[in-house]
Amino acid sequence: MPLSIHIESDAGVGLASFQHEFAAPVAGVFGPSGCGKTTLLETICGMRRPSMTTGRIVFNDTVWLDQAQGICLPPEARNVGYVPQQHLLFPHWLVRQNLLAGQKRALAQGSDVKSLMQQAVDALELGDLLERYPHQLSGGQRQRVALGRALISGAKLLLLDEPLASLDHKLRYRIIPFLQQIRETFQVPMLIVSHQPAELQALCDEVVVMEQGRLADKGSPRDVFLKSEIYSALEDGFENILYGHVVSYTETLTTLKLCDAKLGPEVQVSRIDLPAGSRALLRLNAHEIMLAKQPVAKISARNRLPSRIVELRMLPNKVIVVTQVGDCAEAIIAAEVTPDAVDSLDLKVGDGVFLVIKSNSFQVCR
Amino acid sequence: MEPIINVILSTLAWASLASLIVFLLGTPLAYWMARYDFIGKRALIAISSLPLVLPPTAVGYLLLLLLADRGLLGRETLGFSLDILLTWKGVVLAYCVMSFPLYLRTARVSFEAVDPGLESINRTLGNSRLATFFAVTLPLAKRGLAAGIILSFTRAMGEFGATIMVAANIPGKTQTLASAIYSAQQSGDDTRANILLMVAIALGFILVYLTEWLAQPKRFTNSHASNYATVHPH
Repeated sequence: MPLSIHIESDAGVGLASFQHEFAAPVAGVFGPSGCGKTTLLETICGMRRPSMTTGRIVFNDTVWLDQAQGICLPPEARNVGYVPQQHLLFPHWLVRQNLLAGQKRALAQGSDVKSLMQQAVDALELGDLLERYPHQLSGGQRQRVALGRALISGAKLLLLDEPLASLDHKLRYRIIPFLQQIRETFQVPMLIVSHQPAELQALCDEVVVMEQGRLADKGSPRDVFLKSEIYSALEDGFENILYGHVVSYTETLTTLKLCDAKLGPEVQVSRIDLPAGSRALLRLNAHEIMLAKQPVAKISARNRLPSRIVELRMLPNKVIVVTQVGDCAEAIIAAEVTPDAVDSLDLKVGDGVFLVIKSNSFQVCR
Repeated sequence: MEPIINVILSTLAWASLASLIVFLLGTPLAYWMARYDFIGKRALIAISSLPLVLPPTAVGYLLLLLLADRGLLGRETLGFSLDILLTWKGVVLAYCVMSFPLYLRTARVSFEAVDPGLESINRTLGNSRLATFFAVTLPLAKRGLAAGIILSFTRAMGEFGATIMVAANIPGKTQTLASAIYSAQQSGDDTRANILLMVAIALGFILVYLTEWLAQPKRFTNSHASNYATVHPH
């Protein structure tokens, strides 16, 4: 996504300093609430023009904002699809009419709105909702409609504000597969703002961190979230985000292959009702993993995964052990242990260890 | 004597024309006042509300001063006559001035109740500011605007003081429902006064009833319908 942003402001609120060129097709902005993430999105889409000393936003060689030259394209000229946290569906229109709110632009671009609509309705499973009003929808359904509306408007860049935040705790990860579907079907670049690492890890190729209106850090999601300052500030600890393909299941357990449907290491999780072959998103908290230097034969934990330590990150009071499981290069799992444990097991980079994980430590979404 | 039906029809026609003028002028002004902050906004609100609190005769007298030969809008100042005083145009002018603040206030509140975020999001979808006003803002504010128009219409129908000052009470020319009741009662024609009274009560009832109905708008809430969980599983 060739989006370049440079904003400097001395207003003291909102955005203070942000300079970055987003290159990845799906990028994330991470930061606590009040750090200026929403202001950033609203500035990008043109809904807001904060006071700034320097302001320049360029997307695909089109200048959207140039403070020095007095250029500021209105929102309707920027070709963005903004999905705000509160969804902002039009209450007086049916879902169908909401979805078509931006069709004029799509038509002007020469898009086939009908097939665009069909694709979005299929990808987001909106078929049964078309004749309802927004107030008859749940939070998750509203979110999907807002997403569909942005897609059908022929947006060249999707801006998502906290896609998980407004959803019930139990359902919040269900939007992720939809977003992945969108990512694959529509190939529209996305910029996702969130204060939750899990969704950014699951979706983004690149993450920037914002703190008090400033760009504080950037890198790949795993790199960023394993950094000492950020890792320590994570409220619920670090979650490994992994993909699995269902292989088989018994009465109580489901077996999945991690990352690669053929070569990936197998794990067992509490039974999920998904047919063999389907893909699932797994979350695994780093502090729920035990490390063993030798195979442990008699233990209740169902998973004992042979792996290799690729990195040790020393934090105050804890050590993050980054391991690669089996032969699959993408199957990277981080475990959190105490410095004491590292000493007594004499853990070093390159050592083989077994990851001991209970089946119910995996949280499965779809 | 002017037939009662003529009095009623001309009053309705003048009040309708006044409401139309108030709607066309007041709607954009109300939207502007609801969405933008500018220097003197409070003063403008106060000035535009004055006819609500002044005695109608005071407003009528002010209009009279403005339109008199040497007034700001008089024949000698403009070089030609607007020919408003003592004509039906005077009635419409008095109606407009007296009902304008009522409409402006209701319309402004209705526009303020429309989430500006909805307008912004519609613009990010590629729609212009004007298209957004007609597609999003106006439909969402329409019940309030309709209530405001009916309110201003009823205010016009009941207008007496300012009309008497500007247009007088000339039967067959500028006599309105309100001034006809006054004339009938003064001349001792009780039957005529009673019929006019009945008509005024009936019209007033219908209009206020309509306003009440409009004032309880169909709510588009963001909260789940109470039976949501059982009817629409996620």
